[in-house]
Amino acid sequence: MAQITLIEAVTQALAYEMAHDDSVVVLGEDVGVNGGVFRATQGLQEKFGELRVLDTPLDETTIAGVTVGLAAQGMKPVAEAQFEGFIYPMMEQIACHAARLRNRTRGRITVPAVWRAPWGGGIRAPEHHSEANEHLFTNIPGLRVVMPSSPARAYGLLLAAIRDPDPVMFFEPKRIYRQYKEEVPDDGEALPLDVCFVLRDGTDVTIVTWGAQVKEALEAADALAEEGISAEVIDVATLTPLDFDTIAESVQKTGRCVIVHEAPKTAGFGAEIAARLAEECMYDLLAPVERVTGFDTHIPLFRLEMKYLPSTERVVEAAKKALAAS
Amino acid sequence: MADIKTFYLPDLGEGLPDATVVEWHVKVGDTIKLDAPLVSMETAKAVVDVPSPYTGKVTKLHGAAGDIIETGAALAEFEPDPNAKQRAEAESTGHHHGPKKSVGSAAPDNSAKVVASDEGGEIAQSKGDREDEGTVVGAMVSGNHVHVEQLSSVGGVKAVPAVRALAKKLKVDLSRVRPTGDGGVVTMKDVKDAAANGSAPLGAAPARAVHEDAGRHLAPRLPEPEPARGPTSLAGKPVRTSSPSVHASGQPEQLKGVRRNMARVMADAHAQVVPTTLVDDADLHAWIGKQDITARLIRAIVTACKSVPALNAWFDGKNLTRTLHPHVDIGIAVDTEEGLFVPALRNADVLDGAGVRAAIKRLRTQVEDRSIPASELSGYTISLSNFGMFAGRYATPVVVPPCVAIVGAGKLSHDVVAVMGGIEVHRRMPISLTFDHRAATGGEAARFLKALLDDLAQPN
Repeated sequence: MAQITLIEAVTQALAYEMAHDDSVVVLGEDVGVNGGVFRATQGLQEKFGELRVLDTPLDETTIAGVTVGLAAQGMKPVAEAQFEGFIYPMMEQIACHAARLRNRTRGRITVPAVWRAPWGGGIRAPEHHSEANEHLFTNIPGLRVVMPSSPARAYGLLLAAIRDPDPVMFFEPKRIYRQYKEEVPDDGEALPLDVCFVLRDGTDVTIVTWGAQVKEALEAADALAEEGISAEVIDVATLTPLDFDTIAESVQKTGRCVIVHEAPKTAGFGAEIAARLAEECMYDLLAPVERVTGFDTHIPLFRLEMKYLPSTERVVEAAKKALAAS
Repeated sequence: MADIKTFYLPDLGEGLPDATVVEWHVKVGDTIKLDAPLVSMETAKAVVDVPSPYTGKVTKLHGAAGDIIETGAALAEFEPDPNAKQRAEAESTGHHHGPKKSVGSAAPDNSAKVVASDEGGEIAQSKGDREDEGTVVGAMVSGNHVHVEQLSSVGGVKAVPAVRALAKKLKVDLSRVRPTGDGGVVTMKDVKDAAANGSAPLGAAPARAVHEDAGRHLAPRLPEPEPARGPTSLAGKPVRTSSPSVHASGQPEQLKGVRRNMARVMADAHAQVVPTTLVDDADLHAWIGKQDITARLIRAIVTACKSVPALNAWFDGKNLTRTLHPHVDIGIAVDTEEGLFVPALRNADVLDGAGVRAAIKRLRTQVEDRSIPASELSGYTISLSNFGMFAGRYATPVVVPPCVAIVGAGKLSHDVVAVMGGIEVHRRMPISLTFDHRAATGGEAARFLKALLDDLAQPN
C-alpha cells in the first residue's frame, strides 16, 4: 500500500472517482494545465482530458454558478476554490442555489456538487489565504460541511462527498497537506459521512476538534497522558449534519469537554457544540466546557500567525482547567 | 569559500509582477534566523512581511525602501550558517518564484512545476529548478513521517476509528461483529458484512438498512414534484435584492511617513498655540534689478528678529517660559508629494545673499532625494512659508511650537498705489505674520512686521 500525504490522497480520490464515474468533472482556477495551486489536481487533465478537467477564469462566482448548473443537470462537479479566503464570492451561489434546490424543487433536483477549498492558516500566506470560516457554512441548511484530518480520511471522505447527492463543502486543512503520510489503499472505499471519528479513547476529558487542529489535540492527549490524564480525542470530520451522539457519549463518560478550533471564537462551530452539550449533557458535565480557538480578528500575517492558532500548550492548559474544576 | 545563496522575490499574491520594498528589517552584515522577518514588501494587494529563507549572514540587499523589485528578481543574498538548521533545499523557502526574467528560455516543463514542499523536503526527490507562478508566501510544513491510526479497544473490541465510525453509521454493534483481522481486529469488511446480513444490529434500535436514498437527508421525495423554478426570477429576469449603492469616489488611504507626521504636528499645534495673524504688503518698488526674493525674505526676517527678538523665540506653554535666541535659524517649508518638510536654514543671521541661496539649494536637494538628516528638520527658531511662489496672497500659516512666529510670503503682484500727487503701479509682496499670542504681544508682532517690511522695501 502506498504511503501518501493528504494532498496526494485528494488527488487519488479524484482520479479514482473520475475513472469510475464519467459524470465527475473537476473545475477551478489553474486546476488543469497547472494541476492546481497546491497540485491537488496534478495529472488529471492529461488523464481525463480538457472536457472533464476545466480551467476556469479567475472568477469564483462563475465557478460556483457553473458548478450548480452542472450538478443540477446530472453531472457531479468538484470545484476548487484556490484558497478558502476567496470563497466569499461563491457563497451566494452556494447558499442561495446549491443548498436550496432540493428543497425548492421538493426533491426533484439535487445538487451533487463538491466545493474543495484549502482551508486554514499556518503556512505564512498573505491576506485572504488563511481563512478558517467553516462556521459560515455550517449555518446554511442543505449543505454538508466536511473536513478531513488525515490522508486516509481525506481519501475516504472525498469519495463519499462526491458520491453524495447533496452539496458538500470539503475543506482541506492545508497546513497538514504534506505534514505526514499514511497508508491509503486506492480501493475506492468511501468513509461514512455524518459521523465523528474517535481517534483516541480516554476517560478523563474529551477533546473535540476537526481539521488541522487534530494534530494539536492528539499531541495534547499525549502530553496529558504523561501526567496520567486520559483524554479522548474526537475528530468531528463532518461538521454538518453533526454526529452529536458520539460527542455526547464521550462527554457522558468523561464529564469534561475541550473544543478546539482555528476559527474565531465568537459564533464559531465550537459554540454550537458547547450549546448542545449544555442542552443535552448538562447533568453529565463536571466542569464548564472549554474552548480553545482562534481570536475574534482576522488571522494575522506570519509573525503572529502561530500565536493565533490554537497550540498544543493551550489545549493542555484548557484540559487541566476542566479537570481542576471538579 | 562561503556558499552564497540568492533569494529571489517570490510571488506575493496571484501572479503579481512586482512589489515595492517598504522596509528592510535587516542590514547587510546582520545575521538572521530562518523565518525571521526579512523585509516588508508592498504589492498591489497588501503589505506582506517576507520571512527569511535562511539562517545566516545577510551579504547583500537588492534595492532600498521604495524600490520596485520584479517578481523572480534577486532580493537578497545570504551566507547560510553551516552549523544552523536550514530548511531542506528542495523546499528551500517554500516561496515560489515568478517566471525568470530572461528572453528566449524554453517553455517550462509542467511536470517540474512544484508548489511549496511538494517534495516533502527531500533533496533527493527535487525535480530541479523550482519555477512556478504559485501563490504561497510561506513554507508549508512537510514531512515523511508515516502516521498510523491507533487501534482502540473500547469494550474489548479492536478497531480503527474509521471502522468504528462506519459501524456507528450502519448501526452495527461492534462487539457483536466477528473480527477477521490480524489479532482479532474488526475490519471495514467485517462491519459491512454484518450490516448487510443484519447479524449484529445495535442494541434494540431498529436496524436501518442502507438504501439508495441514505444520503438524501434533506427532504423526502414527494410523488408529485412541482415544476422546477429557473435560475432567474419568475419573470425570467435576474432579481436585484439590494438597493442601488452610493458610489464612493475614493478609498480612505492610511497616511504614512511625512504626511502622517504633518497631520500629527499640525493637530498638536492647533491644540496648543493661540495664533494671531497680521497681514500687510511689502512694497518692492525701490528694488534695483532682479533680486533673489527668497534671499531678501530671509534677510528681512533676520533684520526683524534683531529688531524684535520676542518673535525669534521658543515658548514653553507648560512651564510658561520663553527663550529668546541670539541666532536666527529659519525653518523653510518645503512642499513635496509625500507631505510637508521643514528643514532648518541655520545661522541665517550670518549668511550673505549668496550663502543663503547656496544653503537653500542644498536643503531643497536634500529634501528631494530624502537625504536630509532628521536633526536638520527641527530646532529652527522662526519659520517661513513662501507659498506665494504658487498662488495666494494672505494666509494664516501654522505656528509649530516651540516656535512663536511664522512669516508667510504671498504671490507678488503689481498693485495700484496711492502716492503723493497721484497713483503709481508698484510691485508688492503680501506678507502674513502669524504669531503665538501667548508668547508675544500684538505690539511686538506689529513692530516685527514693520521692520520686515522696511527691510524688504530697501533698494537692495
